[in-house]
Amino acid sequence: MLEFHQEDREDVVVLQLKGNLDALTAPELRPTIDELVSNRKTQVVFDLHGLTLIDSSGVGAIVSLFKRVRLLGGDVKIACLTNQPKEIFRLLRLDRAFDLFETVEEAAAKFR
Amino acid sequence: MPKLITAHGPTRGREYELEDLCILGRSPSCQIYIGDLTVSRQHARVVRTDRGYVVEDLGSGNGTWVNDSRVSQHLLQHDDELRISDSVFRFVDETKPEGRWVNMVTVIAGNEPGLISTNTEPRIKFFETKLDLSEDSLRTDLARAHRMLEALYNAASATSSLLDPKRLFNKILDYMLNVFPNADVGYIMLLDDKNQLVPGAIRRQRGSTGSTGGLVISQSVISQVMHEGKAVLSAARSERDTLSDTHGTPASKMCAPLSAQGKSHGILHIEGKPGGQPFAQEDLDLLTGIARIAGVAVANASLHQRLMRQQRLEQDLRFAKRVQQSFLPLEPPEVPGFQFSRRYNPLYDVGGDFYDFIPLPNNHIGVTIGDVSGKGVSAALLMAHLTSDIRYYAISEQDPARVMDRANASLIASVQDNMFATVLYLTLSPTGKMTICNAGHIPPLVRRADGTVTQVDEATNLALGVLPDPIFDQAFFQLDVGDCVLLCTDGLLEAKNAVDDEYGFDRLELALPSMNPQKMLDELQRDLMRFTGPTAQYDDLTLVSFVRVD
Repeated sequence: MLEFHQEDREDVVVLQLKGNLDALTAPELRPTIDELVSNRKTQVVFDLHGLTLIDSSGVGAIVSLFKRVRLLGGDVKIACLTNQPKEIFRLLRLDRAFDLFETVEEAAAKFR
Repeated sequence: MPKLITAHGPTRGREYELEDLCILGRSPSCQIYIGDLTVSRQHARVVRTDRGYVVEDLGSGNGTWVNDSRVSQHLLQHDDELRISDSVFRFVDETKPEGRWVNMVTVIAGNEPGLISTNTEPRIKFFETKLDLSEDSLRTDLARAHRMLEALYNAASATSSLLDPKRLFNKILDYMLNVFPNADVGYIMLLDDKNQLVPGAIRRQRGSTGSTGGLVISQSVISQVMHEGKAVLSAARSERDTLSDTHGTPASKMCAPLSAQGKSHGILHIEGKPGGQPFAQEDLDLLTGIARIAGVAVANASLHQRLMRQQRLEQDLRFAKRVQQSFLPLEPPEVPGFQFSRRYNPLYDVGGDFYDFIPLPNNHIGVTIGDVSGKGVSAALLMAHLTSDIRYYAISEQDPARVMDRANASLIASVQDNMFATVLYLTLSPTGKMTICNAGHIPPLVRRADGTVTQVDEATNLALGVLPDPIFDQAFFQLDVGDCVLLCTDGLLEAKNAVDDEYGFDRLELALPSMNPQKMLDELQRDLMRFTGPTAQYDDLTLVSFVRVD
């Protein structure tokens, strides 16, 4: 199960994910990602506070948005990692690609 | 066959017929080769899907554009303009009528005007029940019954052997237009996976002068036909009508369910010529009978279609598995100073896990273990790509960090944007020097000769395929005789038992009692089986182990 919610805060889009982001649910995120890219909304914060599980397809979805917005001069920042997703981000050393933040506000502030 | 026609660019003037898969790019192996340096090697692909042809960008540098919007994935419509750098292609799909009239079906609420008649059974038996013994009347009834039986017989023989849905639909409609010379246009609408009626085919009578405004059909007709299984006739010929005063009246329409074994698959709808002679009850009877025969043929064709798709998919998977396994070493290598062992248990037929042993100059050896994101064919192809890249760079570069750096650059340039890989690459010298570079993979475990187990947390780097130019660190270790190293994929640590505990590092440490790599893997696997019990595993599991010997 994945719930996601998109909130536009001026130039920054906050994508809140809850539940599992895995091979089954990652395709549900695809249209949102495509839309962000085609609307050139390239400053994105993932709020992962409620994300309980992520697998390689889930990471793939976030990486996909990351690669595409960077081509357009934007960036993806990650906020509120906990538990298993935090472990996966650590293992994959994604801290070397993404800026990680404790709160959504801190992450969003970095875009200004 | 749908085509891409070059409107502009190096391939100008050329037409490409589209089959199941067509890759566009600068690599000469692409089906559509574009000799332009601003085009990526594999830039985009056009894939046949259930919905039609879909163009997908393959993580290209300059993007793939359809009708001037950048797309990552787009369902191509007839006449779409596909642009890659300076090359422009026009997508032409004459075979699919949906492309032209998919938006032309209008469902209106309420009742069909002039709806007068419905039935559920073709009244084939009417000449038995209507015993009018006057000779003229008997002759007419027999002639009608004969006409109907003949039409049904022909419909059955025309449709029963066709398995290609498009050809079948056209055949059914052509046959209808032939049987009902006063029909102007015929439609087949089908239920899709989401239970929505979607256009299947449209045919017009030769020389049709009717409107091209598309199909207008009322909700009440759909409901009667689809849910109640009734055939419906509207604006029919009544007793009072004469041929001379039919001008200006709405076109007569008939609609019947395409059903088989109690399930409605769609509808067959025909419209009379404007101002022509309207349909009558006996026409509806005949249509109902033909629709019933056509319904069985449609059900057969769709079943056949599903089986074919499944078969094709299985063939793809078998092929990918063969390709993938050809990249994995058959036997562990024999080199002075080390003994190797490995286990490979792909969960699916085709997994994303891989390992490799690469002979290097001066009796050195390179060892790779990795896991690419995703499952199935795409994961297998990415794995094949990465294995050959690493082999190549391992021979030309001495430092594992440089090998990873180059493999990453190659991966970034060539794969879809949602794919990445975790790879651990290390080299071993005959004197026991281990040089390691870990790109997002589970760190190796080292079991020293004295029994202590440590995890190698040094030289951990970003997974491959995420950033174009990350920094890769490497680290050195001295392995002594008797030291044993275990490499694994996340299948091991993610293995779950019936109460959803994960196998975990602590248990793994305890399960490494042996100094012989073969025995170590045997015992590890047995312990894993004891732990998980019959619970199905979610990931592939690959293990590589080696020990330093005299």
